[in-house]
Amino acid sequence: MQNGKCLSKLSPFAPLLPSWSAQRPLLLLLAAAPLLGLTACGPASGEPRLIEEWRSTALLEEDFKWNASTAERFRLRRTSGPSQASSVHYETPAGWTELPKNSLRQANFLVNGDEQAECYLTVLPGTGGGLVANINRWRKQMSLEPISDADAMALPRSDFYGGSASRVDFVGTWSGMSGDQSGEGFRLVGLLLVDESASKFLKMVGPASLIGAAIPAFDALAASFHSSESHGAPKESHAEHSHDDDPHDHAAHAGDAKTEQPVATNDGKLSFETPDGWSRAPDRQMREVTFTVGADADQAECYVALLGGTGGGISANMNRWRQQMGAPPLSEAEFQALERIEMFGREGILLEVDGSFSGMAGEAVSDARLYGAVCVLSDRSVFVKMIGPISTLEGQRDAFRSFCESLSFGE
Amino acid sequence: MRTILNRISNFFGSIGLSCVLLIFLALLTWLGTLEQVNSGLYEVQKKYFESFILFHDVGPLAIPLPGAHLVMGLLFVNLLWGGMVKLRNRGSMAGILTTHIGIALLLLAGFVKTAFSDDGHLTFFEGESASFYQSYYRTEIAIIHPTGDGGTAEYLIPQELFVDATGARPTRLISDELPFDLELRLYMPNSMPIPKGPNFEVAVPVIDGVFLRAEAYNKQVEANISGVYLTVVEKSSGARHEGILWGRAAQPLTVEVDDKAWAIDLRKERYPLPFSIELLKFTKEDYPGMTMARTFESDVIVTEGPSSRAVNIRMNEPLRDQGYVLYQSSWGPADAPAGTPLFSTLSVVRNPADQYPLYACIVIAAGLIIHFSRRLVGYIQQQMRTAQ
Repeated sequence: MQNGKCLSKLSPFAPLLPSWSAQRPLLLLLAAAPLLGLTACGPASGEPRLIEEWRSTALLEEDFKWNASTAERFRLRRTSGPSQASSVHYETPAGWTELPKNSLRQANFLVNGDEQAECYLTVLPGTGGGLVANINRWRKQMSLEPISDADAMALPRSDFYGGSASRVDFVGTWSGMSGDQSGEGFRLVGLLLVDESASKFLKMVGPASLIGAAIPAFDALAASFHSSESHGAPKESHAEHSHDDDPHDHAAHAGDAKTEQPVATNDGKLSFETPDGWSRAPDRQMREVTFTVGADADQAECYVALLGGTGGGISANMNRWRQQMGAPPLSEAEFQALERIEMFGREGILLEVDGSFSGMAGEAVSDARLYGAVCVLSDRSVFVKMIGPISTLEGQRDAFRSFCESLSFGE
Repeated sequence: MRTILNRISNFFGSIGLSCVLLIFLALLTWLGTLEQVNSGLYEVQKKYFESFILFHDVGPLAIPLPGAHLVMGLLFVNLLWGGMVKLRNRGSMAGILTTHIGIALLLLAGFVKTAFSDDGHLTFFEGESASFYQSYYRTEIAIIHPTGDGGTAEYLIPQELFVDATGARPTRLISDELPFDLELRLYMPNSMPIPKGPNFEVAVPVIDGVFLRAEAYNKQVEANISGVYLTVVEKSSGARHEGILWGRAAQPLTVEVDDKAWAIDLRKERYPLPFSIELLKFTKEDYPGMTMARTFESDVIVTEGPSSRAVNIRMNEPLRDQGYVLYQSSWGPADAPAGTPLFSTLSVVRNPADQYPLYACIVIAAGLIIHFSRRLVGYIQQQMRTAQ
């Protein structure tokens, strides 16, 4: 462009070279501009900043909910707190003194009437901070060093609130919730049931001798906990009775599967046919019905859950299940290729994945298999998930599929 | 003095500067493309292409580079000075001059878009209408108060005034027209309000049993949900109202100051439209046997004042009105079963220079035609003379 020459006429760098010495200071200045601090100026920190823009809007006063609570504003469901305390049921051990409940203690006791020993239940939404963090918080209260994730996973487990809870038992120096107390020779026994829907923590702490004597009562108390939803739910023994010993069932339903009494849900009664070899397990929160297959370490479980709307989306839930199995997310083509079955008169999508299962509560199963099925209804979605060792689930595919196809809603 | 001015003139009009700037542009394009492996599109756009200066990280080193704004600004000056003002033999170089004008117009279009345009989306269900659209990326705080006739008015705080309020020390926002001041602190670009439980402690304030937890920053900027702690300080009494603002709150924080109600909301930046638009019908057709959309379109009513008209918006057939372009961009909810009401999302772009690139291309094409026609005629004449 200089001297009327256009770019196409020139070798790209030819004119640059002779003039380089003359232009170098300016080009260097250009390159060094960042070093000279030529950055965009923002508002000065520390000084008050002026709100200047104002406009009228097309929004109406009635478009807002004035004085909405924090929970309403953030769509938070308070699963803990006084309102839920009344839904917790338990049997107070003999000799224990029941104390008033509060928002953080849904059950609250003095152990054997001793003011130094207490036991209480806390229910929190979600994972409540997680399993390992809570164990180590308790250990800190007992003046003990934290433990590793692996050690936490290896803790013994106890039945609690319809689930398998991690059990801790520490002896140490009690420093209190705020670190402002001192109790040497204290013992802490606790159960932690961490689940993504809600987590329960049962904790007993006090002088070691007193706590040691109270452990049987603690175990009995733990076994007695259940919520309103599971109050009156059929026990496993009852379920087995209805399966195997009721001649009416056998007469009415020849073949492998048996029709169970419908399960009441918020949206009607859920009916299904239980495949042979499946046993009803105690009800759990967020599940409509739970089954177990096999026994002991090889036991697998299957459950049905209902969620509003699409429950976050079919593919998102499928990929979440795959993530729990250590498998990568499905591509669109893989998702489209998943097997379709009929559920509730609609299309259900079936997932099968093998891998190493690690659940939200820290449970882990190597060489695991997961069967999943999702069916989106008009206003809610049905999720059926079966998880367990491959050795147990080998041969259960047809049973799982039949179970899914047998699901129906009635009044 | 004259020598210095000549040097400056020669520098800004030199072909050497053109080459350096074009190399920088190519370099920025290459580095910006590579950076998208680690950062989202929006952040790369801001860092490399909407900046004057940037630091490109190479291992532990931060190498300073001119941003595309600086490079293109200088290129415009270079083109204007060297390619037009200082161009000699303009008569014979008319084609080149025209081409340079076209390129300058293209650069000008980029400047106008950067300086004066905004874009966002408008999402609504059938039967709903809207007279504003909102940004995908930018946030704002709106202080809303009823005007007494059922309507509302807003004071707006752009994100530049609060995104740096990340520390515990509050940033104070004031206005003579408001009966209170605002103090903002602990701004989090991506956050989640969490109920505080008894079994864990948090380092941030807990307000009404809820605290704001910082989440990992998502490189897809539009997926982040910002949040900030807010204190409303009454000017008359000094009374303080604590609260949390969160980008996806269902309702704004409301306070009463001097017997007047105020709502305060952290939200995506909103831009008014000069017309209202109502979604009459949204239609989606899937590929046979699949849930993948083959085509989707929105039938809308555009109302401005007393007049209204029906418009069909579909892929590649946007609505253009008063400098605004509304494209059919998406729909939802994803995985919705048959029969579920769907919402339609229209991408909205307000760009005064919307048509400039077209004009620029026409000018450039005309310039090249003029230039090469002259060259062709000259060549033919020379050949004819040689033949004679």
